[in-house]
Amino acid sequence: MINFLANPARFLKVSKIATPLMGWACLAAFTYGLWLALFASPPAVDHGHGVRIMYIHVPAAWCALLAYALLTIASLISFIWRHPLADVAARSLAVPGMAFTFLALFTGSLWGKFAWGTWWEWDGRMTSVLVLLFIYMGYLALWQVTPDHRRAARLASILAMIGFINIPIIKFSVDWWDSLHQTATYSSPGAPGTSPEIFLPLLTMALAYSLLLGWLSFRSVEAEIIRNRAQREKNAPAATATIEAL
Amino acid sequence: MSKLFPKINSIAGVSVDALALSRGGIELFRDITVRIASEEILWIHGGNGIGKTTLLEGLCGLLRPDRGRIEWRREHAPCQPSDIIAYQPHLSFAKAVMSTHEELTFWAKLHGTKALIDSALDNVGLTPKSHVPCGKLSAGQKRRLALAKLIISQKPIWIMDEPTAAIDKTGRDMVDALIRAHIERGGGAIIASHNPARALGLKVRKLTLEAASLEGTR
Amino acid sequence: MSVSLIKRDIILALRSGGAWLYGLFFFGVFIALSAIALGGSHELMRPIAPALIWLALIFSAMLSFPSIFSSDFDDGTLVQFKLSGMSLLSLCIAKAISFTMLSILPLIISVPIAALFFDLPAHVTFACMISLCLAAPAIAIYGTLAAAILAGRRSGGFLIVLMTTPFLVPLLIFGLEAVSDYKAEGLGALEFRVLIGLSLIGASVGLPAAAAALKAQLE
Repeated sequence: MINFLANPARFLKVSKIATPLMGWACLAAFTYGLWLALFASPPAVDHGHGVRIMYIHVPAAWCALLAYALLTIASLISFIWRHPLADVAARSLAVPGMAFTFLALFTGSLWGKFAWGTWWEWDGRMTSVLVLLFIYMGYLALWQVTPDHRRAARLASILAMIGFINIPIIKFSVDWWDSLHQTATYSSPGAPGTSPEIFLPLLTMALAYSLLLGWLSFRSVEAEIIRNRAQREKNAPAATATIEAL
Repeated sequence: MSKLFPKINSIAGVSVDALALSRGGIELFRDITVRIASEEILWIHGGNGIGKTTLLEGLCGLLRPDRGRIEWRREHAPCQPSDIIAYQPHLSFAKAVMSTHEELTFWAKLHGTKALIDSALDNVGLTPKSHVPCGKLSAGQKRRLALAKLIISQKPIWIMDEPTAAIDKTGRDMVDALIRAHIERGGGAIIASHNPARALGLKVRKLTLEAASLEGTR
Repeated sequence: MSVSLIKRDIILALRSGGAWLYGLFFFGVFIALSAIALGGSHELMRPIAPALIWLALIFSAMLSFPSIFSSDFDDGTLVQFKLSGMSLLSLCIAKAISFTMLSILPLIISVPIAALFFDLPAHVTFACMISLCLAAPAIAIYGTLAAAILAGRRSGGFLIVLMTTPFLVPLLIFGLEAVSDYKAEGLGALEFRVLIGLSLIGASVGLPAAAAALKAQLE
C-alpha cells in the first residue's frame, strides 16, 4: 500500500477518486451522526441534554490521537526510507490533528462548565490533551521555521517520534498527578457506557471525523504535490560545469 | 616543512558522477562529473551565488545529492568523507576568547597531531600571535589560522573556499607554497576562488560553473 | 574526546565575561518577582515555594537551551566536528554534561539561598535539591535535543520553550511530588526513583535522537 502510493503521480491518480469519495462519505456520516447525536438519542439520566456535547467531544479526542499515531507512522517511513511523500503526509496530518485537539479541549471546557461548573478543570484527561496540543504546535512551528524542506522533514520526523514515545509517559504522570489532587470524583467525560443508543451516534461521529481527517489530509497532500511541481517549473534552470586542463 | 608535510603514501580521491545539488529546495547545478585524486588541483570558478560553496559542501559530504553520487575512496576502497577530507570553509570557526595556540591545540588533539602545532603556526606566520585571542586577529590572520588547522588535520584532500580572500601579497605566496608542498607530497586540493587559476607548475584542472541557457534545458 | 570538549565548553563559558551566570541571575530575579507578586507573606508562599523554585530553574534552563549549539553551528565548528570523524553521539553527551555543569548545577547549589527568601524548613530545601539533581540529566538531555533540532534557527528562543514543554511536564509533576512526599517517606519515596527512571529514559531516547538531529543538520 505504502509502496503503491509512494509515487506522487500514482498518488494523484488514486486521490482523484478517493478524495471526493471520502468527502461525500464524510458529509453523509456527519449528517446521520449529528441527527442521531442531537435529536434521535435520548438525553442522559444524570446530565440531560448536556450529554450531547460528548458526541462532538469524544470523537474529536479520539481523532486527535489517531492523527498523531498516523503522523508518527508517516514520520517513521519518512525517517527510514526518506520518502518525500511521507513527509508531506505527516505535515498534512498535523494541521487537522491540531484542530481536533483544539476542538476536544474547547468542547471539554463546555462540558466542564456544564457538569462541574467551571470552564477548566485540571483533570488528567484535559491536561494530557493540552500537552498534546503543545506537541502539535511545536511540530508545526518547526516546519514553519526550517526553510530547507528535506532538513525540515527529517528534524520534524525526529521530533514526532520522540513526542510519540513520550506521550505514554506524559499520560501516566498526569493521571498519577490527577489521582493525587482530585478532591471530588467527577463523572469523567469519555466514559459513555455501553448502551447502544449512545454507542451508535458516537461511532458514527467517530467515523465522520476520521473521514474528515482523511479528506483534509489527502487534499493537502494533493495541494503540496501540485505546488512542488509548479515550483520546480518556475525555478531558473540549474547551472552546469565545464572542465578544462590548465 | 618536511615535518608538516610527510609523504602521503595512500591514494585518496573523490569521484563525482552526474551530480545535482540543491539548496533551500532550488536546484543549483546538475550533471557534474569529475574525478579528483592525489597530486591534483581542481580550481572551481563561477559567479556569485552559482553554487561554488554548495559544491564544496557536497564534496565534503555535508549535503545530500538530489541526483547522482559522490564517492570518497582511499586505496581504492570506499571510505567516509571524514577519513580523507579537510575543509577550510569561508567561516573561520575560531572562538574569539581562545588564543591562537589554544585553538590550534584543541583541533590538533582531535586529529591526534599535537606534535605539529608549533611548526604549523610558524609556517602560516602566526608564531608572534600565538597568545593573542582569536577575536583580536585580523581577517587575514584568521584565514591563516584556518590554514594552519587544515595542515594539522593531515588529511590527503584539501577543500578550500576562497583561501586567499583577505590575505596580503606575501600571504598569497605563502598559501601557494603550502598548496604546492601538499600536492608534491601526494595530496590533492579542490579550491574555489574568484582569482584566476594558478598552475603552480602542477597538474591542474579548472571547473567552471555557468548558468545554463534557457533554451538548452526546456 | 568528550572530556576535552567539556573542558573547552567550560573554558569558553568562564571567559565569556560572566555570560554563563545570566541563568543564575534570571533564577534569582524570578524568585524575587514571584515573592513580590505573592505579597511577600511567608505563610502564603511556604507551601508553593518548591514549585516556584522548580519553575525558576526550568525557565532559566529553557532560556539557556539555544546556546547549547548556536555558536558552534553559526561559526562552522559543528561541520569541522563532523569532518574530524567525531561521533555525534559523544558530542551530544559532552554537550549535555557541560550544560548540566554550567547552567543547572549553579542553580541547584543556590537553592538554599532561594529557600531563605521563602523561609523554607531545611528538609524541604534538601528534598528540592535532591529532586532537581535527579531531574537535571533529563532536563539537559531534552534541551540538547531541542537545541540540535533548532540549531541555526534565528527564532529558536521561544520555539525551544514550546518544544521542550511537553517533555518537561512529567519531570515537573514527579519532582514536586517527590518534594512533598519526602517528609513522610524520605529518600525512599517512589517519586525519586521515578525521576531517576525519567532521566534514564531521556538518556536512552533523547541522546541518540539529538545525534540524529545534528546529523540531519549536517547533510
